[in-house]
Amino acid sequence: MSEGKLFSKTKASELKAELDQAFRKSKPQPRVKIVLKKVVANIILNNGELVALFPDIVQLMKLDDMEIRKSCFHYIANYAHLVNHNVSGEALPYFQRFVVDQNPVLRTLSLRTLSAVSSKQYVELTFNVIENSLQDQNPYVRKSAAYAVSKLYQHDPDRTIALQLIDKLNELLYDADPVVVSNTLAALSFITEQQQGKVLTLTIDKNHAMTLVGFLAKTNEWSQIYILNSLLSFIPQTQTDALDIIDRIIPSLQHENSAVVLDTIKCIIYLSNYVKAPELVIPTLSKRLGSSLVSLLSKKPEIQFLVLRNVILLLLGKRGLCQFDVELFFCKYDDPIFIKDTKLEIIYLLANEKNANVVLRELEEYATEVDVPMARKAIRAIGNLAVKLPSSSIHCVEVITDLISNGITYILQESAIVIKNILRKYPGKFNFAIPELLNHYKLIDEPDSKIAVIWIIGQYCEVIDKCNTALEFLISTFKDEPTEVQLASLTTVAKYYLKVPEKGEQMMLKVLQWATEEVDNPDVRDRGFFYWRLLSSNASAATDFQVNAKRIILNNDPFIVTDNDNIDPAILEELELNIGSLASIYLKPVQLVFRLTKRKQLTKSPALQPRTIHENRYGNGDSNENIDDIEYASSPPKVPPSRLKYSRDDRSPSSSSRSKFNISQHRPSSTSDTSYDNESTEESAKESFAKKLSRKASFLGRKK
Amino acid sequence: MITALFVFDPKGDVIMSKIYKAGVKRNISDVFRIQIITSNGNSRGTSDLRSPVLTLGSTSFVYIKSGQLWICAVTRSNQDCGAIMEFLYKLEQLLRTLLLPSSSASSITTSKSSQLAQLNEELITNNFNLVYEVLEEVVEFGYPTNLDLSYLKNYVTSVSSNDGLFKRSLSTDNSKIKEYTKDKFNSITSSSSSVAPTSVPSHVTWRPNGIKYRRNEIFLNVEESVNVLMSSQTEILKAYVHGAIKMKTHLSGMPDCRIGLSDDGIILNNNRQHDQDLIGFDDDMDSVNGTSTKLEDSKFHQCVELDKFDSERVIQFIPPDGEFQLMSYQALHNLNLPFVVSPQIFETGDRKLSYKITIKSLYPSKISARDVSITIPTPKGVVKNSTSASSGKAKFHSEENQVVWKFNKLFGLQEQFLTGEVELANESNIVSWARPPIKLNFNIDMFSSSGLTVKFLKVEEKSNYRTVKWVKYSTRAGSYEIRY
Repeated sequence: MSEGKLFSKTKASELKAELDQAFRKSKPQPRVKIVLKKVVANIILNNGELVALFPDIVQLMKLDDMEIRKSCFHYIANYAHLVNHNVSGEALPYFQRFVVDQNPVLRTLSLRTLSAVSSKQYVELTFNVIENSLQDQNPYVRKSAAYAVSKLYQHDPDRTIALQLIDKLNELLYDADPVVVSNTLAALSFITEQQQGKVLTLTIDKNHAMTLVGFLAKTNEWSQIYILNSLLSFIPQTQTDALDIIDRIIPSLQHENSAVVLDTIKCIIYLSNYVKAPELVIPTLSKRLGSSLVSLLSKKPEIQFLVLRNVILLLLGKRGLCQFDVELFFCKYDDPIFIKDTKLEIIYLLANEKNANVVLRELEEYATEVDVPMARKAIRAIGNLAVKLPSSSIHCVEVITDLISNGITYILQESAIVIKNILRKYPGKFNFAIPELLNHYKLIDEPDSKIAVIWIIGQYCEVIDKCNTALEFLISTFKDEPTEVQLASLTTVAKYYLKVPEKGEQMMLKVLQWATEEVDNPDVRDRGFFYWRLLSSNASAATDFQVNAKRIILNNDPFIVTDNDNIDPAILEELELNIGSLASIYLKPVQLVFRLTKRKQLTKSPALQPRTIHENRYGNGDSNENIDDIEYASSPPKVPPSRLKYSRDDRSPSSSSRSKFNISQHRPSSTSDTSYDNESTEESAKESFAKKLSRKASFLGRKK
Repeated sequence: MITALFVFDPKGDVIMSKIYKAGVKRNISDVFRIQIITSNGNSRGTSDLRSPVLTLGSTSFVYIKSGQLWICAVTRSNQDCGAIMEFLYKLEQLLRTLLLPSSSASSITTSKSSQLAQLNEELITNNFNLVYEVLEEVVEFGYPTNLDLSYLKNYVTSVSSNDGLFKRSLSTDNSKIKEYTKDKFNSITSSSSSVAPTSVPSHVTWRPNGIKYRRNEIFLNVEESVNVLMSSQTEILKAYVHGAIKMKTHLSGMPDCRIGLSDDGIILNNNRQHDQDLIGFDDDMDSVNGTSTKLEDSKFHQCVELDKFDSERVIQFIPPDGEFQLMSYQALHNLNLPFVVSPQIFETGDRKLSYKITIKSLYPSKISARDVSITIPTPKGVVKNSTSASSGKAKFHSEENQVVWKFNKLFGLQEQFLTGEVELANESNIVSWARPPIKLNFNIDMFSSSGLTVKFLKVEEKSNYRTVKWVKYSTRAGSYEIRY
């Protein structure tokens, strides 16, 4: 008979009746077993009603049958905490007997069940029997006893400490059986992870660490995981301490279980903090770490994803310790999207002058893919590469202009942003990209992209042919745009007016009027009034056309920095101690994701090497960042690494204070001077405009 | 580590649940159903999953999909995600071995069918008691402890009532050992129901004592999958071989096995002095001009003594009984790529494309590839098509928008070509065509793309019996993509 028929929710009363019926037979066992299977099914299906059966189930433990007792244990573990003391207490005499039974399996199972129940009497009994079990002759029992201590700690931490059970658990670390030792480590790790109450930490000395490492070869994969994790509690006092352990655990990089590999890497990275220039001491290390990670990419997608996220982490913090070939991270056509995303970020991080050609070709391939988010990310990556690698920038820009020429909207949106960044990084160098982009200005409609185009027009209006038409078109929807677009439009129109007054005047008036009269947003209105005052106050100064306004409005923006290569080292340090954990997927400060986790940090010791922020940027010779790039990076922004993203607001308060400094240095002199050619007409234009402005202003003032 | 474990059927109903420790309520499963299963049902297809982990507050759901089922681990706070993911996959594998009929579960005999056979809700509910007991035994207080079949045999009592299960999982197509299985099975049931099991043997947790076979055999399969990404100029953008050595052992006692591969002097990153050069970057193309096999990295089953391998380059192990994967490896250099495909695809008109695809086989002429198929995508809305191939069969599949060109057998050192033309309906256009890559599939026996060969295979046991050894090689396509 198929068990499937038993798998359904059943009423407690029915089950009770069936049990009664079973006991009417001379041999009740077979019938009882069927009823118990139904009980297990109801445990799985979360049927709370079964609580009522408690006394009946407890009685069944009388029957000397392992299978029956096992099912009873399942039941008790799930329901004992729901019934009142008198009823749940009925089971205790059985447990008292079972934990000293001859059969180690029964001893184990009963202890496991007993310790799992949080009711007071159960905890009480567990406290009474646990010491015995910890010294059981059978390793299988000792293993469960170790976990039982953790459970007790969960139920009643103070008493667990008071009864010195933690110390007894510590003694188990010297057990002869590696399986017991490793599971004890797991049990201890639960206790040390707890944050509330007394904070306990585990420390392991060198001798013991070496013993534990010796166990690695003798235990199964899960035990190895617990042992490797415990090695983070070993604090090397000298460089040799650390190197000895690294040497012994390197073979584990070749384990088939990805968790063992990741934990091994975690250990090695941890220990390498206590070695001066580890990449020179163990020259093969970077290759081995790299290839052991890459070979995990043949695992299932979920595991690949985890591995890739950790590759990013290592590239950000320990580039000198891992070596990768960028080609291995090229996407497969049918990779899931979350993998493609992550691979793209890695490709970007690994790109350098040497592999720029290959990388660009690959990115171009992604940019033409049907998957829109992927294509956009690829374009963004190309743009960021142009900023990161000056010598390849020309190639990047060519690729982007090629892509633009297809006139596909989503490509345009992204390209606009990217070109803006490139123009800011290399002012005047890639002007040929501007007309290419502006051919399609009508298709650009996303706020960020629109801001970019508007900015470009403001900055380069003197080299753009159809500038006027384009700008007219872009501001025609001014009133319906989001605030940022309105602000950008205002600034650009002001720039345009200052550079080409005869054409810009009408537009300036129109936009100022909109901004001050029809827009509700106070920021936009304020900026409108600000420009207004600025432009009108200068009218009387006959020396030079709008000289003050020009100085304020027509300055250059500060350099942009590929700032996402810099994350707060303290955050990286903690993440590196959490390689392979859930936090490594999010790559965010651990406490930000998991509020309740205990903070991990490197413990001080004479051997601990100071962490330098840019240690790896110059270290291995393949990073070619121009010194200019990191000019502002000396105090790295403390942001979570949202990859491949620039802070797009060019006019954040901090940057504008810097921009003052740049005025004299970076102003492109020749181009901006063109507007001075026709002095006389300008003079009159200026005057009349100023008049109009002041008239408007007074009108407004009166109205209020 | 793991607070609770759930298995959901495709509709999102819980068909298996196990709470390992306090910290979550049982109805947490509803959260998963609403957040993942329901929202995924709308978008269709597993590839659209955004991330394999969902974190809400301090609670995370780590999940995999097995066939139509969802297996989900619920965990609190920051935990070892790698261990949880590995656990889920190992658990899935374990359940498959236990629940699926042996012919499809045995991966070593037919790798293809094992991929097809999936867990489903009937398998779980029909054996829910066993599954529940397995879940109870493989994890303690949320920490995975042991997922080896031989270990579970000692502790899972459901065997006695589901006597078919373990027997089935152990029996193979080889009828000779059936009787043995029965013996062993009897001893298991008797030991687990009343007598205490013999305590865990020292450290070999994956192999019980006292195994006996009348005929001692060891099967070794070298299975490789070639992954290639070629550009339209037949230039190789990325190529690697992922290989695995799978074994089936029917050996008595506690045998000590040793395996030597190709030229064990050069295998793996043994090149300590060579690595120093490598730090200079990418000049390794010169150093691999020789014909040697070089494995980039390899991963071993837990039975292999890793430190021995590290120092002496010998793979030494006491194998588990039955089937297992001894090692997996990755090779990047000196690959023997079996095929080159050069596509020429032109737009011959507004709505017309002409194809000319050439495939060259590069392996020795004596061996042949089976089931070679080349999938050539076409744009949507084809109204007319014509193909002619120099050999093999080519057929247009309108619902998948592709031409599939098949060979039952293709010998080495040949060159075949296909020409074709497709015409599109008025409303479709070529510009918006995504141009998915051409894909290649094949199976080649007795060919190893990485050049890896097994040089020796020694089995030593106290009783000094004779062992029959079988070694087989096969190479198949992993993801073999050609752009155009």
